[in-house]
Amino acid sequence: MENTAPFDLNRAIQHWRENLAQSPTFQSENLNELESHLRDSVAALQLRGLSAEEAFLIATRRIGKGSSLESEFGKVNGTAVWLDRFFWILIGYQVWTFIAGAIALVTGNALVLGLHGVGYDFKSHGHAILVVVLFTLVHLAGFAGSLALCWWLFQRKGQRFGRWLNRLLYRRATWILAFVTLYLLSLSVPVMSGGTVSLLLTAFGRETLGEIALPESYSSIIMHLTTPVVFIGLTLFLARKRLRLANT
Amino acid sequence: MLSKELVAASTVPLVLSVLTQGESYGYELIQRVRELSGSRIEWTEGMLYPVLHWMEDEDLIEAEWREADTGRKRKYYRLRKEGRKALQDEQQQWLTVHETLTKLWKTQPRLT
Repeated sequence: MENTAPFDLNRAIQHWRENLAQSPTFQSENLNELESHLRDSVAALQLRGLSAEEAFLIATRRIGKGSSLESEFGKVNGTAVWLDRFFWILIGYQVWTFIAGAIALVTGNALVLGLHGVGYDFKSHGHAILVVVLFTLVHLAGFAGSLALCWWLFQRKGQRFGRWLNRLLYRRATWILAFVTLYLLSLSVPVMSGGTVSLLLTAFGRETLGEIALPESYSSIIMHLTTPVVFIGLTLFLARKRLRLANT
Repeated sequence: MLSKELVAASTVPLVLSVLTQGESYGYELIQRVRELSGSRIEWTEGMLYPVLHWMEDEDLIEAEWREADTGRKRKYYRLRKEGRKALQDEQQQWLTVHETLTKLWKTQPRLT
């Protein structure tokens, strides 16, 4: 089916502006000025006999590609760009700490309870290597799941979350609410972790808990050796991808 | 058409020079330079604004949002005292380059 909807210039300009606004490089005043320029350019082209759609297409091309504009405006709005980057680093750190902590807690305890459920005796040290491998696999799966979930959250929900947070922090009163919520979230994993240890202590006793800690600590060493490899690899992969995008 | 490097280097003196004739806004500045250069100086339009903002930060020019005849708001730029002084320095530098090249090209045999 051919699209026969008439071209709406104001809507097209709004959409173009919203696309630019996704970058922290452009301040509201920059967008106002670019929009004013675009409207002048469109009006001049329309006076020469072009349709609104043709004039809009030519005017947006003349004003420049979003990535080129971003790079040029970034030179004068450097502080805003770095503030935004640092903001996302802090958000990323808190989200990662919460998600990775919660997933590791759930998967680790699920494995302990699962092994106990199938009648495995931690005190017997039977199949010790298998248990270490199992702990490592479960932690690796949890780590991969945490990475995938964080990636999905930032890619799909990041912009929306940023806008929501902006609206929320516009009002002074909600600052306290945001602070308390984030503080409680950051505390929730260590509190749950402590609670789980107490529960396991009651269920299995001090001696068995000590035996469970042994394969977990071996698995933890393997994880400490593995996670930097993943993070460094991912950083270099993204750096290369970013470089390739900048050159296109 | 001028090289990218020369266009970039000449942006500030061009803007300062156009503004000596009176206040103006981004779109008009671009049109004026295009017209004066016979379309040989073509700015990527959006790229002018970061330069204007840098010039504003350097106190060479000042800006004000005002309603135009069309009813829409526009940001008008005008020259400051520091801008006039900077333009004098720019004029000296560009004239020096111009005079040197003119002398060289007048006295040396042409290659073609």
